Formats: sequence, C-alpha cells, structure tokens
Amino acid sequence: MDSQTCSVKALHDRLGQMLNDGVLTHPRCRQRATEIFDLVHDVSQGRGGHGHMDSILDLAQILADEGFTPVCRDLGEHVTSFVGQHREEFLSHIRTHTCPTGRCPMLTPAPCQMACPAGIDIPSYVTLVGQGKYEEAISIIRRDNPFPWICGLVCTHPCEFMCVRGRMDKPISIMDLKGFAAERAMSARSYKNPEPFPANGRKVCVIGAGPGGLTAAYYLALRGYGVTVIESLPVAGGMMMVGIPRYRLPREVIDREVAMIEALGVEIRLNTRLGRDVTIDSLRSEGFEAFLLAIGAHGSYKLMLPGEDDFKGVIPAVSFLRKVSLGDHRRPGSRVAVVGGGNVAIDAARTCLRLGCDEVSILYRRSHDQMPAHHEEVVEAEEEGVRFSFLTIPKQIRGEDGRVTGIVCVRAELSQPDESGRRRPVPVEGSEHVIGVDVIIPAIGQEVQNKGLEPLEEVGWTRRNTIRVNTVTMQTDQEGVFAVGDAVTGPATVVEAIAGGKKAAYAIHRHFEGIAQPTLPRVPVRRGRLEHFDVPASLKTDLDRPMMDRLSNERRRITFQQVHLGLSEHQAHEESKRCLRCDICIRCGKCVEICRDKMGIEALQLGYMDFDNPGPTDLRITAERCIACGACATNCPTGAMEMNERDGYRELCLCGTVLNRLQLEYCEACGAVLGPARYHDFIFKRLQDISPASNGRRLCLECARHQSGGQHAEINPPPR
Amino acid sequence: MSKYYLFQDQKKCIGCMACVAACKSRQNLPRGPFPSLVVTVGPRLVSNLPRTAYTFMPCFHCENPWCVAACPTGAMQPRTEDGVVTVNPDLCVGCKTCISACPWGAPQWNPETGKAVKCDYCYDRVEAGLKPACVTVCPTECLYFGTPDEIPEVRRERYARARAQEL
Amino acid sequence: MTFRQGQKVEIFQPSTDESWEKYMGGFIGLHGIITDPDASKNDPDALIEVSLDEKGTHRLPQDCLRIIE
Repeated sequence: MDSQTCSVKALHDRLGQMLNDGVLTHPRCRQRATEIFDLVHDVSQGRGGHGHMDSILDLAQILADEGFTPVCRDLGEHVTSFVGQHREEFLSHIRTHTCPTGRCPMLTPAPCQMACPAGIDIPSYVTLVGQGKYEEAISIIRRDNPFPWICGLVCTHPCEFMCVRGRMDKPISIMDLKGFAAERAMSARSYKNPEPFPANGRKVCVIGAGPGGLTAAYYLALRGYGVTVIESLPVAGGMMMVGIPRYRLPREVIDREVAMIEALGVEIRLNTRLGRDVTIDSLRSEGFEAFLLAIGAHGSYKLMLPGEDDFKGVIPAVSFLRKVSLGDHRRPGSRVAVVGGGNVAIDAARTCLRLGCDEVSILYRRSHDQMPAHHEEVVEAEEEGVRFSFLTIPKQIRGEDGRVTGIVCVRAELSQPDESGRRRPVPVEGSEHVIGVDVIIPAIGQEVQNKGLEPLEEVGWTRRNTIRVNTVTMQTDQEGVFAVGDAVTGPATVVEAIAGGKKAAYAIHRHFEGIAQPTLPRVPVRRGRLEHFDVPASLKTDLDRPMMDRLSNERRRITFQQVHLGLSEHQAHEESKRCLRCDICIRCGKCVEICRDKMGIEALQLGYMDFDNPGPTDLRITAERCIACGACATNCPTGAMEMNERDGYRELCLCGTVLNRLQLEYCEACGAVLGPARYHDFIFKRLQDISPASNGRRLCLECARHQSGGQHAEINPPPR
Repeated sequence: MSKYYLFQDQKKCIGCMACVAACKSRQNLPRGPFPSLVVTVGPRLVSNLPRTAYTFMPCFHCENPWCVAACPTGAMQPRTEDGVVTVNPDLCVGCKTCISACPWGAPQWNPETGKAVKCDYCYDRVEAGLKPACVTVCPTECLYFGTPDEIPEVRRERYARARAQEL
Repeated sequence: MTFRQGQKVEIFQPSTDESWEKYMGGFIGLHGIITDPDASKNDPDALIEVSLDEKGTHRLPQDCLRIIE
C-alpha cells in the first residue's frame, strides 16, 4: 500500500461495493456488514469516537464466527486483519479528524494549512477572527505554533502563496489576521496557556532560545517534561530578537510570547554559552537526558576582499543588527555601504537610516530584478531613502588611520544566460571607481558556529556546515541529540524553525517513551470544522485584500517604531469573509462538471479550483444562469455546496457564499414547495416538442398523483 | 409505449398496500419515495352507501414520456427491447427535472442516493420469467401483468354480466 | 538556474544532494511554488523552501526543481 492510499477509505469502498453488488446473500450477514460499513463511514467522515474501533472489530469477529456463508466468514476475517494491520491509521482518523492522504473528502486539510510548515488550522482561525473570537483563534493557532503574535508580524507566510483565493484575485491576509487576533487576545488578557500534563520528572536541555528551541520547550513542557533552555545572549528570542529589527518586530511582542512559555515552567538561562559557561558533560551531570541543538546561524561570511580586516568600520550585518538590538543605538558612521542584496542587507540598511546615518547605499552585483530580498522589503527600503547601486562589484576596502574611507568597486554587465539560465555579472573593464564611505556592512550570508558542540562527537555535519538530521524527526546521528532551526537548514525562516521545534518535541517524547519514530513527514491536523458565514456572491467578489496602514515615512526614517500598524477590527472581519473555506470545499470540481457537462447549464465558473491551470472565476454568473436544480449540492462529497429553502426562497450556497437565490413557487392545491419559476421554465422548454402548453394547474408530486388516481378511480357505477 | 401492461382490477383491490411495500423493499428504498402507490379515493356516498376506491399508480411507461424529454443527462430512457422507462443511476445527477415534469408523479426522489427512482416493471424479474414484485405479492390477485393481449377482459365481462342480470 | 519567490516549479527528478531524503522520492512529479529562495545571495547550492500542492512545505536542494511557467 503506497502513501497515497487511505486504508479507511479503502475498507469503506470495499464494503460499499460488496453491499451494492449483493454478494452478501444472507440477511443477518448483510445486516452486520451494513453496521460495519456505517461505523467505517463515520470514521472516514470524522465522526468516529473512542468506541468505533472496538465495535468494528467486534462485529467483524461475530461475522467470522457466525459464518453463515463462506463470503461472510471471509469478510469478517478480512476486516479483522485489515483493521489490525492499519490500526494506527484508523486511530489517527478518529483522534485527529484528519486523513493524511486526503482520500477522505471530509477530512482533507486546506491548501493553506498543508502549506504552513507548522501546520496551523488556518481556515478555522480565520473564521474565528471573523466572529470576533480572538481567544479561541489563538488557542487553535497555539496547538501548532506557540508564537502567533510573532508569526503574525514576520512570517514569510508560505500559506498565502498557496491560498486558493490568490488564484481568483489576491490571497487572504492570513498573516495579518493572525497578528490581529494575537494582539487583541493579548490586550484583552485572554491569551492563555493550555493546561500542561503533570510533570513526568524527565529533563530535556535545549541549547538556544530562538524560535526552534523555544517551540520545542513549549510542547515538551506541555507534555510534562522539565525543560531548561541555555542561551548565550542576554535576551531570549534568538534571531527573532537580534536579527529582525524592531521596526518589524517590537521587543514587547517577543517578550510577551516568551513569557507565556516561561509561565509553563520552562527555565531560560540567559548569558550562558555552551562551551564557556556550561559543557555537555556538566549538563549531563545536572540530569538532562536529551539535548536539542537550536543554536542558529549567527556567523557571517566574509567578503574576502583586501583590507577587510585592516580597518575599523567593517561590521558584518549579523553582528551589527545584534548590537543594535541589544540597545547600542549609536550611529556607526555617516556614510554606509551595505554589501549584498538579501533581506539581511535590507534590514541592515534600514537600521542604519534609523540610527541617523546620512547616506546608506546597498551595493549589489546583479540587477534589481535579481535581488534575493523580498520585494516588499525592497520597496519599503526605497521609500525610506536607501540608495541602491546595482551591478556593482566590490574589489577592495580602503582606509586611513585605521578607519575605513571607501570601497573600490567595478561596474558590471549581465552576461547572456548560461546553460543553467543564470545571468552572471561580468566586470566592465576600466570601470573601477571608489565609493567614499566610513562604514561597510557585509551581508552576504550566515553560517553555523559550531563552538561548544565538539564533545558531541557523533553529531554529523553536512558539507554546508549544518547539523545533519533526519528531517522527519530532527534526530541527529547521535542518540538522544536532536537539532532544529537555522543550525540544520542554514539561514531559513522563523516558521520553519517553529515547525522543526514541534517535530523535535514529538520525537523527543517518543524517544523517552520508546515509541517507534515516523518515517514520513507529519501531516497537519484539522482542529475543527467551523460553521461558515453567509456572504452574498457579489460581496465575496468585491471585498479586496485590505491595505494596512503604515507609519509615516518621516517617522520611519528616524524611529524604530513598528512600520506596519496592523488591521482595524472592521478590516479583519471583512477579510475573514473573503476566505473560500478550503477546509470544507476540497475543489474536486464535481459541481462544475455536473452543471456544465451533465445539465448543460454552465452556471458555475470556479476556475480557481485548478492549481496548475487556474481559469477565470465569476461567482456572480451563477445568479444569472442557475436554475436551482440542486444537482451540484446533491453530488458534493463534503457538503460544501448546499441548497436550502428559507423565507420563500431557494438558495444555493458554496461554503456560505450565496451564489443564487430564487423565489419559490408553491403547489396550487396543498401549498407544498414546487421550486422556482426558472427551474420550471427549464423543464417546459425541454418538453416543448411533446407538450407545447403548460400542463394546467401547478401541482406538487403528491397532489398530481392523487388527482390522477382520483380520475382513474372506479368509484361510480360504470355509465350505461 | 411499453410492450407490457399492468392492469388493476379495482373491484378486487382491498387497499392492503402489500404491492407498495413489496415495491419499496425490492428497490431497497428509504423513507420517502414510493415508485408505486395505491391512492385511496373516498369514502364517498354512492347510492347512499359509503364507498372507497383504491387506484394503483405505478408508472404508465408512456409513449412520449415527459420525464425522458425533461432529463438533461440521458439517465431516463425507455429500454429499446420493451419500452420500459428506467433511470440509469450512473447517469442520474439528481436534478429532479423528471420528477417535476411527470404529470402523474411517477419518478420519485431517493434522498439516500440523491438520485431519482421509479417503477421499472421489475424488468429483471420479468426477464427471469417472474412477475413484477407488486403483482406477485397481491393477496387478492387484483393486479395483472403481461402484454396487452394477455390482460383479462374483466371489466367488459363484469359489465356484460351486470347487463345480463338486468335483463 | 536561480529561483524567485512565487515561481511555479515541478520536482522533476531526485536530487543527488546529501540532503535528499528517502521520503522525498514521493514528491517527484509534484508541482508547487517557491516560497523562500535563498534570500541572502541566491546561492544555487542553498536549500530552498518549496510549498507543494496539497503536500506541504519542504526545504529542498535546487537540482530537483524546474520552473514550469
């Protein structure tokens, strides 16, 4: 059985087939098989409870024991062995209401949730934000990510790239909604920790208080472990604190979320460096039985230019940002050149502006389009007055009296694309020039510093100088030692470190319990299936991704105040209404296909459903064409498409989006619902050739039958 | 028009509904649909006596069935071999147009499968040499099934007898 | 080949890199979007983050990827 097959679905389909084919001839046996089928159906629909497994197995045993026919006996035995064999998968369906293969339509996580490295149940919290239930939103997020506020401000949000709404217009502001919910919950004092398991007396040591280490600490503490975090810096938060500048992530945000983790009993020892203040041996003697290496990538690559080590004023970006974050707000100089085109270069340049440097330039060897920094950050840096010097290759650093005075550069041109499609910068001869600066900040990448880890001899390293792990469990080559974060991936994202921390916490728990470790990556767990809002199709279409207010540019250039000012409550509520609720609609396209190919109506234009070739989407077209026959809703495997009758109207809704609303007509005899006029027009048009006129009174099914029954009744004596 | 004919001798029918129940159970139907139904008419005073009639209402398997014309998917079709109008569940998408189109209310809605269901004269039984389920279970033997020339002329005979007695 | 954020890619072959793990074989043929390329210098040797359609977000070596748009 490959990873694409769901054993619950497989058993469900097999039983359904047998019942349908009528091979179970004995009535008692058919009855039992139907009962088993219903139970398996519950499990595949997410309605399975604790007793379901036992009941299925009991019934299968009875079926085998009774053995009315050989087919019944075989079926009983098959179910017993099959369920036994796939016990874990059945139990995980029951416990998590999630089907890892996506074969059970009701239990398939949405694309955004699948894309989130931490696996947050995004549709659920987006809905809760729309309902104003911020506390519940935060508790759902924190089941998978203990830092909703931080991630609500600085996440790279892969979810938004996969957001299905993005194929229609623009993705949902998933990150901003998270930040909004966290801010409101924290402000209302309703941001709470879950109840941890009782202490189990076992101790784990986490090295590094960054997002990866603290996430592992959080989930381990919830599981009852005694966790101590060793941190060499005087502050907790790792790169979130000393890498990300304050104008993107205020310190209070980190402090408050770290405090929530400390409140679970996690001890954070600041100013404690492994190899200097403590050693692996000293930690072992304190009783720590497992170690998690979450040391980050705090070293900088050097430019390897002549003069780099000879003058004061060359400050690697990572060191510079750390110094500023730790409170040194003295301006490094007046004219600054930042070398590199990545996010860290941008952060360093924008920080220099805020410290009062007169002129800040970013020197990058390629062109604007090739800058690896995220587009939005580049735009904001430009707005604030950072200058960019593209196609500029530094050659040498010059200085006088021990201080930097300038950087010698050559101009470059881009070559024609080589075989790999990459255009290389080629120096232009004779273009050498000097840019006069007193500070040079190299920002060309970071590396892991392995100091202090030498005693962990068995821990393997990759050729990228990162710690080698199994990325499913974050186990290193040494028993009982795990590693996460940038130390494993090289410079990466906060949310990936968080994801790693959570994986490591589960793996460490299994390590202690002696449970087998998984071999496939964990699939996100659905945390609920919340009711959707009713939103008219036109509003659903018209609502636009909100523009967030920003700090004025004047103030941005002089302070470290947060640039992004957050969504207003109204914006957040409106934004959550844009969500297409892909946790309910699995975009199987059945509705579209039936409406177009079977009914010939083409009232559903939902081009967003296809990932590879998205087509046009028009939610409003349905109201113009749909006859409200309900075939789409009848065939929807998840109940995403619904047809309801209320207040004299028949409504077609897709996850709450009201696609069509037609006034109902009623039986002229009994008042029962007949359907809307457009539906009858559709039928009469088809009957035109054989019945040109309408058939008199509009009667419902029952009345029509009774009327014609009456006409045929031989109640009167036959006429003479 | 179907080559078969299902005739009910209303004088013999006692309204026990055994035919209705047999029909539902053969098609394994949940609550709701009645592919065949006995419509009770009356009681009504006829010559100062209360009288009730029971009309058996299966599908008439019309010559030009409206349900077939209304069906957009081709699921509703008369069988080429005998003209019996049937629903192909693989093609039916549950749009209910057949149900709304039929003037007699013959196609019914099966909420469990989300598809239309109707009287098909139990063609599988007929092909096996049996009678439809309703005919088989009728305790008063008021239902007759066959080709039109096999149907007994009960009404004519009864009329003739009544006239003869008057004479 | 350099990858940019937001580009659609296909995992078209297994990587020869040491970071390619066994389970990643199941990703071959899947489509996805680059969500975090090397954001410091577009290093063609760096591991980059790809979000696969319905199959989660993973950090992968670049020699298994090709652009499909």
